[in-house]
Amino acid sequence: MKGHTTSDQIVDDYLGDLKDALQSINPSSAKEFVAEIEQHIAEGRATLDPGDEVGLRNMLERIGAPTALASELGETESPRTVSGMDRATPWLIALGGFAFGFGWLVGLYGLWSSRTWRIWDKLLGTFVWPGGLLGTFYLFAASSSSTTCSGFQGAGQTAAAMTCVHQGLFVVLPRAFQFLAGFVVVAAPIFTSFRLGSVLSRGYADASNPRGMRLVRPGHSKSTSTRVVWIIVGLMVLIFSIYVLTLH
Amino acid sequence: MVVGGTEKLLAQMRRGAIEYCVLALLLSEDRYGFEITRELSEADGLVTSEGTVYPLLTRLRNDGLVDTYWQESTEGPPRRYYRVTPNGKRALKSFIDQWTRFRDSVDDILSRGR
Repeated sequence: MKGHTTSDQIVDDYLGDLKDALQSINPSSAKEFVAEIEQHIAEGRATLDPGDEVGLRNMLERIGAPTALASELGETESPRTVSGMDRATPWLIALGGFAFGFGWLVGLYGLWSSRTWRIWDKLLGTFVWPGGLLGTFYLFAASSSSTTCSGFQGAGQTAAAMTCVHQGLFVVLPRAFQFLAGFVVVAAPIFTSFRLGSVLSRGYADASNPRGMRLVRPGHSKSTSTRVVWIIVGLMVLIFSIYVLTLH
Repeated sequence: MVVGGTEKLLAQMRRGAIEYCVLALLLSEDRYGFEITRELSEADGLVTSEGTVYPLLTRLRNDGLVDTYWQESTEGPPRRYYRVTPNGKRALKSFIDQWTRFRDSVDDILSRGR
């Protein structure tokens, strides 16, 4: 690469090792930390001769070994990486609506007040669907049946003179699309909560972390049991939705 | 007590004390990360790895004891400056009172053993 000196390579190697060592740290903290160290190195290099490799190596030595820095950052960050509120939020977003809507509102507060999720996931959590799975049932109710009336109801005419047709979005769709629409309506909030839970446990992927970093969590990981619970809930809701669709 | 235990204890004391040293440095003027680490590493035995100061700065910021702002630099990219907050000043004052008593007591006892 043009202009890429041995000193640049030394710095690249150091930063590469640092990013590797930070795999278990909260991604946003890790990213900020790497940026601080990059800036520190840039400031330090400005005081050295460009070809002073020994000076550069000494400076990196003073900054510290990547593994030592990662362990220091881990001690600083891990107690507050995943708060109880963060852990509860995907559940509240999905199921909180059944607690008279209040639970969903609490989840919404958790979602928007947390720094764990980015704006698009916050919007996803808010609008797909409002009320979570309760919103799914409302959508079914609204889409499965509506009443359209035609005719005149002038003076002297009775309501019987009007023609009323019961139909809804789902009902007018062909059978195969009914199932598809029902599936999307049910699956969307489940996907949303999965997505929020996934970001919570894995963090966001970025250039230094293509698959997302895993957070350090104190104690036993419950991700497998959580997945099983979600699959059961999803299947139950799916069965219920098929039942509702077949009624029409 | 084994020597390793003393090392661990000193590392913990160092970690606890550095936070207040940073606050004290920021009392006189706002500083950027590189400046802070350099000042601390010049003090004997206070900082073993300059990089470890950054997580500490993040913690101070999360705890509301310092806040940060960006400022253009004539020598390169913008720098993030740290400044002590009123909460930070209160925390430092309280630490100085406690530390002075603690240090005097320990020094007094240790000097009797000489």
